[in-house]
Amino acid sequence: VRTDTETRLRVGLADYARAMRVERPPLDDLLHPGHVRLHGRPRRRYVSALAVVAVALVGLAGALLLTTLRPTDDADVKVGQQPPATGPQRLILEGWPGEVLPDGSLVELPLGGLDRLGLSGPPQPLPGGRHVLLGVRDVTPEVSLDEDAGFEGDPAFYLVVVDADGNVETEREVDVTDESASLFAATPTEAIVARTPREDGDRPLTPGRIVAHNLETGRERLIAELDIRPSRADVVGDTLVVVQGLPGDLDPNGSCGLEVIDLVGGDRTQHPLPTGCSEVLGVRASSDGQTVAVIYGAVGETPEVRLAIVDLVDSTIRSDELLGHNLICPPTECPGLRPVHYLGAAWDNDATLRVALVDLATNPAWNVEGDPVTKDELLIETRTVE
Amino acid sequence: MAALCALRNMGSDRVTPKDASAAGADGPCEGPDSDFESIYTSLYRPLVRLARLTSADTVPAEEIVQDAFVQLYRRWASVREPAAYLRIAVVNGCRSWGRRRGLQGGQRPQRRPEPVLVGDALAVREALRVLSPRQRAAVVLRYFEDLPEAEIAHVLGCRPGTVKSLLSRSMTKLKGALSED
Repeated sequence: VRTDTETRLRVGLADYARAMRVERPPLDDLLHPGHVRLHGRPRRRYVSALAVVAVALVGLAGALLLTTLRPTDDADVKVGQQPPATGPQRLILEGWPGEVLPDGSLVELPLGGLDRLGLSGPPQPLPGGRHVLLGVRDVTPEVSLDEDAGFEGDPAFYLVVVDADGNVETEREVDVTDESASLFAATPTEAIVARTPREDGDRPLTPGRIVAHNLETGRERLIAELDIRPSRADVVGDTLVVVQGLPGDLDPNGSCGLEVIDLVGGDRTQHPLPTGCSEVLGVRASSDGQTVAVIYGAVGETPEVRLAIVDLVDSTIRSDELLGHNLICPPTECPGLRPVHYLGAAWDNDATLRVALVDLATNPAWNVEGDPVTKDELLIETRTVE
Repeated sequence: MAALCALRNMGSDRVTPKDASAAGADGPCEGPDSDFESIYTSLYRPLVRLARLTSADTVPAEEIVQDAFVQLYRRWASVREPAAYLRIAVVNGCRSWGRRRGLQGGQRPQRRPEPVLVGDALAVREALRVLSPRQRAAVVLRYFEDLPEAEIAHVLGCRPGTVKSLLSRSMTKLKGALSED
């Protein structure tokens, strides 16, 4: 005898499944070797007796080499004044690693041998048309189902700098045991990396820390131990902006936080974000460091993508507006809704912001997990801040 | 189908027909090619729906299903029941996604856009999200796939008694969640 709950569950599951739009990719695309690799298990590093002997034989020279290649604390390095960036910020996209050029055209950024879905954070721009990436690399292609396929164990995070011609300029393993690494921002000389404890296991979670990774030497210096678990961050000159509000936590009552850290004086200040914020999708600080654009999501029956402009001088929210809705629904079925997916944002100058979105009304079948962005689907919203 | 046969000889670039002819004998390239393709054609969409239900849209379902098909191809010669193999791979893939996501620290990818749901579908999706990944898998396999408890136990890699317990606790939670709206 079925209970009411069982009946409602069966009906609801069937309706839920019917509402899904699923596009099947061509088989040849599915079996692209690069696609296969990123589904594998990250390289495990077993320390065998042989390896110990080998390391011993390598001796002091090897040890010295490692100290230059591996991330190290760099307490001796003083925090220096970073020159503020000038000119328009580059509009680099997340999810699909591309860039919207000033003329509105789209280019795909080379990944320097990293897998797209293995990236931990979007590419970050560097001077001279270069960019830096961070992601899992050298994953083992062979994964046994019996071993419970998926990323576990000890991943190998790599940091890669790619020059304007797409060539790898620098690559370096940046693993720290039991920690994840995410690329949040970059100055001309340093990658801003969040190092956070892995979420698997029984360890109590701590927010972790943000470090500056010297792109040339691999040395790392601590910027801040965090009070909040970071979601996104941006750096302008000596101002680091960190926001909290994790995508995927699905907490309609979740709250977001915004903290500004002065990289020179060490001062830390909290600033308000709209109370409806449940997940932060992106953050960009204006070049003068006085204004921050926070793109965030509010979950609910019609999940929204919104833009808040925060004035760091007055510590106030200047504006908070709807950009669209984070859902899949053709216009004929959902009049009044604007289905979009957030891609990125950049300031053209201290008062003009560009926000890149995917127009899901144009292509409801666009797949956030693998589809490139085309010009037809790209929406650029421009906002001027008074 | 040329790509199928060269999968095991993965290089840095897309596979070629020449690679395909040099591939080993384990995959479908030397068997009935159309079998794998027809399974892919017929099961891809149902498996994506299974993954999305099992995760209540909290994982990249397409990626997990595509991964499962890749694994199937590579074990083609030894897999006797491809559909069952795929179901296990997809359900386990959804459950292990949390660990994978954990690698990315704070910089998690955005949640995918969600389909617009109304009525029972919306209520059920929200209710499923109060369950643990394992409970969700058991519920979807039982009430969407209509699998018997013994088969669910096989998929989840546990004893039938554990499935009974999982379903019982899940229904208690769901009853509360569904009665709230």
